[in-house]
Amino acid sequence: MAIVPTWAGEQDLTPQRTAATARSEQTTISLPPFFDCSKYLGPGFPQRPDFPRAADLLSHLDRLGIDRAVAWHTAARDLHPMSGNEQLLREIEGVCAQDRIIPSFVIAPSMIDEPGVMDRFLDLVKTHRVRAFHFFKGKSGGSLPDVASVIQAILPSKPVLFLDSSESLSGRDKDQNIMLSFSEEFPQVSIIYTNAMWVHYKALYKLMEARRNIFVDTSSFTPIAPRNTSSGDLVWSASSSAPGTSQTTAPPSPPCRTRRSAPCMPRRSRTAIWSNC
Amino acid sequence: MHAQAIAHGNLEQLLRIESPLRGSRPVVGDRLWHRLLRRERLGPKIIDAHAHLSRTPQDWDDHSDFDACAKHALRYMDGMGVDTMLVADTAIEANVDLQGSLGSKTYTEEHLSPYGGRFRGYFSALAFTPKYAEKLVPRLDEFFSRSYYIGFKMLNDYWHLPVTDPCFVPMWKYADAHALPILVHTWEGPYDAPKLLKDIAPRYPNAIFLLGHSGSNDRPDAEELAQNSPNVFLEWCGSFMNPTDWRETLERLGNRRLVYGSDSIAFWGETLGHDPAWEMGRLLSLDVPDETLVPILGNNMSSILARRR
Repeated sequence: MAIVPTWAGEQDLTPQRTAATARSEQTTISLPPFFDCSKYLGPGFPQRPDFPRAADLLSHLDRLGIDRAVAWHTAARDLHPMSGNEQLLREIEGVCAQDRIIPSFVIAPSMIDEPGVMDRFLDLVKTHRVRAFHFFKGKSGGSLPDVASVIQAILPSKPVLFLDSSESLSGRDKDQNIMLSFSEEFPQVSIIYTNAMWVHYKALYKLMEARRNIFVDTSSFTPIAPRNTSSGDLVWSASSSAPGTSQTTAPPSPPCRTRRSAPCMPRRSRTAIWSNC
Repeated sequence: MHAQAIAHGNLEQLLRIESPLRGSRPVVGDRLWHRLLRRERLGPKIIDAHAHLSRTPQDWDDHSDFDACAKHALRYMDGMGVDTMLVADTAIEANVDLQGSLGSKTYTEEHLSPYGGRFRGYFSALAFTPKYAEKLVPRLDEFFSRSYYIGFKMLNDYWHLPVTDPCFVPMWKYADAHALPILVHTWEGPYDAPKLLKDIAPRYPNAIFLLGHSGSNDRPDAEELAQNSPNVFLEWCGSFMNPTDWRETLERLGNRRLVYGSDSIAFWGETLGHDPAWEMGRLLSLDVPDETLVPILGNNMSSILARRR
């Protein structure tokens, strides 16, 4: 077991004593396993793709001690949803990582009218028990109501829908109303906002207060975590990404964030999702 | 319980994962990353080149809590092994006695000097604006004759005043004459985007320009500025806004042109602003050898500070 120092808890700290205290008080520490809700793989991102193949993603997870991750495929977002979704499944199968890389299918309005796509999509969802889905408003050219029929079709799987805060979370009344309507119409859908930063907090909290099926991940959320955050509101994610582009390859320290989130008084002890983006 | 929920439990529940993760395990390994995960002192020299100690980013109205802020900051510093925190002054009137006699210290200096080398300060560049210049510029030698102040801080996005404003020319000259670092908050926009320093940085070759947040989304411009001017350095905190792989930036610039900063704001018993563990974790989890990271943590900033005259 690793012996680690605690951070000093003395009340009367003087400059000379703080260093000595930090060294002298030590405790053991162990970390929970981590399930990252926000990863991806595939080509086509900045000059150097972060995880071109599933094997690259696995190496990344291994290096950082992440046990499991939800991942989508960049081709599904950037080129063709179903082709990219299928490629994702092939990639995961190719490295036998079904237990570690949980597939998330990209959904888009274009799927609805393309012949044969919805049938194929639903078949794969059922066969592979896909329950995670990503919707990228910017790249799809549509908004949430435009994929309502897709959501309707996958309702039996009680889907989890991931939305990037930078493109889906704004303080504008119109956007808020869309999300409030959508989340009310589909209470079986759990919605997880990824990469929420301080500019998103006001809009985010309004939504989370109004709807029990809205969650947030810890990635970019955690640099400035508001004091009334509850552990139940967060999902773990290691990734911090700039809006609309790739996730960085420089994730923050997941256990530090988890521990920092842990002592918050729970309001709803279920809405926290870990992400190491 | 909360940690397990956030780390994996909540998501497993939502996705109805049939084989949920269980238990816990020790962190094994002696990389800097592992030491951070274990909350150990990291080891190498660390200078936090970008931090704040104040009640609000702009001002405070209750000085009695300031020592609590300092002690809170020391807890983080001692726990992680940060030798020195460079604290950016943001306010003038709450910090400087404008009627003060020769030798009177600023509030920050007076309260942080007792901690010796643990804290050093950037003087707010607001001192050069018309409102304060007449009273403060003549006192610069006095402030910089003591050990606390080591350079200047610019926060032009908040001041709504571009870095190119002529009022800052005396600051560039002073910094150049004394080889001082200037921590410039850089962000895309009309006030302090990196490209606005294109003609300024080379004109004052002895002044050291620290591009706070590495230009945010404008990191390519920050890199170009650094490539063209050896007195320009990138600074770490907040640089996650741009998705460019930091390994690529380090390949282009090397590991001697980047300094670590956290942008943490110690606020009573908490940390407002960026969490230093988050920013440090972001740096240490880069897929580069520890040898690449060590100079960034403190030696680069130490070399910058050693140039002052």
